Amino acid sequence: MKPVSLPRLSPTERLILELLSAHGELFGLALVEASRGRLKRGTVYVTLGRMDAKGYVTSRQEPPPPGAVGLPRRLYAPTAHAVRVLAAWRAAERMMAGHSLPTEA
Amino acid sequence: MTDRAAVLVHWTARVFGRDAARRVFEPLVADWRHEWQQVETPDRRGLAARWWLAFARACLATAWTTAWSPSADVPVAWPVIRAIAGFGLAGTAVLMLPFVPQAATQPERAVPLLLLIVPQALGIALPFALLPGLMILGARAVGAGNRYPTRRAGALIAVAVVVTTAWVGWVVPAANQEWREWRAGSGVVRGLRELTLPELRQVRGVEAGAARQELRIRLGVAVTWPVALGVLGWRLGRRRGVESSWAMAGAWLAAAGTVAALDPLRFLGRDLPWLVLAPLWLLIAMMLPSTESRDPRPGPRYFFFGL
Repeated sequence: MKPVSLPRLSPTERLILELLSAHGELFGLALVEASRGRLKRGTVYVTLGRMDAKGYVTSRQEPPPPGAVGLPRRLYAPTAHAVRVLAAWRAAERMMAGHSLPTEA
Repeated sequence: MTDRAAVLVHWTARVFGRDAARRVFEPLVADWRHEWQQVETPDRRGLAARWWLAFARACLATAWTTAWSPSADVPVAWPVIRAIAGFGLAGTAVLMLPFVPQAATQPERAVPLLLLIVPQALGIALPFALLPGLMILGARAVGAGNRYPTRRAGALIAVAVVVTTAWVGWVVPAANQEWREWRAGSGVVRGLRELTLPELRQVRGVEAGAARQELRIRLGVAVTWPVALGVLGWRLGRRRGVESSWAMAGAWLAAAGTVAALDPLRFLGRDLPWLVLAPLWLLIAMMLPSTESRDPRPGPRYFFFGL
C-alpha cells in the first residue's frame, strides 16, 4: 500500500479550522473575535488566503443587502478535505497522548 | 465601494497580483468597511488605527509570500527584485570569503571586521546582480509587442547607476576610512580610496594623476558596469525568452569570471583604466548580432557558455 503522509497544518491554520468547525461559516473579522485574541486582523486574511490556495477552506461572498454599495464580505467554511485533515491530526494526537520517548538510564 | 477602498484594492492588485488582492485584501477591506459602518463616530479613530495596522501587516506578510513563491499573475518586479537581491547577497558573500580566515583568528573582532567589508563587497556585487534581474525583464519582454518592458529595463539600469554611484562615491570611502581607523586608531590620514568623488576631482599636485586614475576606475564600476551588465542581461533574456535559474547563474558566473580574469589588464598602465571594462563590452558585442530565440527568421545566433 502506498504510504500517505499527513498534510501539514500550522497551529494558526488548525485554530481557524477548529473555529470554523465549531461555528460553521464565519467572516474573517468574526474569526478574529471568536479566537479571543489568538488571531490578528493583520494575519488572518493572509492565512485564510493561503488555506484557500491549499484547499482547506472555501469561501463565498455575502449576499449584499438591497441598496448596499461596496465590496461584499467573504464567508469562509472548511472543505471536506480540511475536515478530514483535522480529524486525522486529532486522532494522531490522541494516539500520542501521554507517550514519550524512553530516556536512557 | 468607497473611493479609498477601491484605491487600496487596486493598489494591492498592482503590487501583489490580482490573486493576492482577491484572496487577502478584498475580504480585509470589506470587513474593515463593515465594522467602520457599525461603530459610532467617536470610536472610529481607534478603529482606523487598528485596521491600518492590520493592512500594513497583511502587506508585509503578503510581500514575504510573494517574494518567495510568486504566483503567475504577480508583477514582474517581484522576481526581478528577488534575483537582484539573491545574486547581490551571494556575490557579497563570495567576495567576503577571503576575509573569513582573518575573522576566524580574531573572534572578538570578527563582527566589526566583516561589517566593514560589506560595503566594498556589495559595491562590486550589485552591478553583477543586475545581470540576472535584467535577464528576467528581457525574458518577459519576448513577444510582449510593445516598448514598455524596454523602458522599464532602461529605468532599472538608470536607478542602478545612481545607486552604485552613490555607493562607490560616498559609502565605500567612508567604510574604508572606518576600517583603517578601526585597525590603526583614529586620526589616520585619508588616502585616495577614502576620498569621495568630488574630493578626488579636487586633488592637485603629485597625486593628481593617481587621483584621476582612481576616479576613472570608480566611475567605471559605478556607471559602466551597471550599464554593460544590465544591457547584457537584457539581451540574454530577450534571446532566451525563459526564466531559468541555471541560465541566470551561468551568465552571472561567466560575466564575473571573465571580468576577474581580465581585471589585471587595468594595471598595464595609467592610461589604460578602461581596459577593465573591455570584457564586458566584448560580451555585449557578442550578443548584439544574435536574434531572439522565438524569431523564426534565419540569422546569426551566438551562443555564450551554453546560453
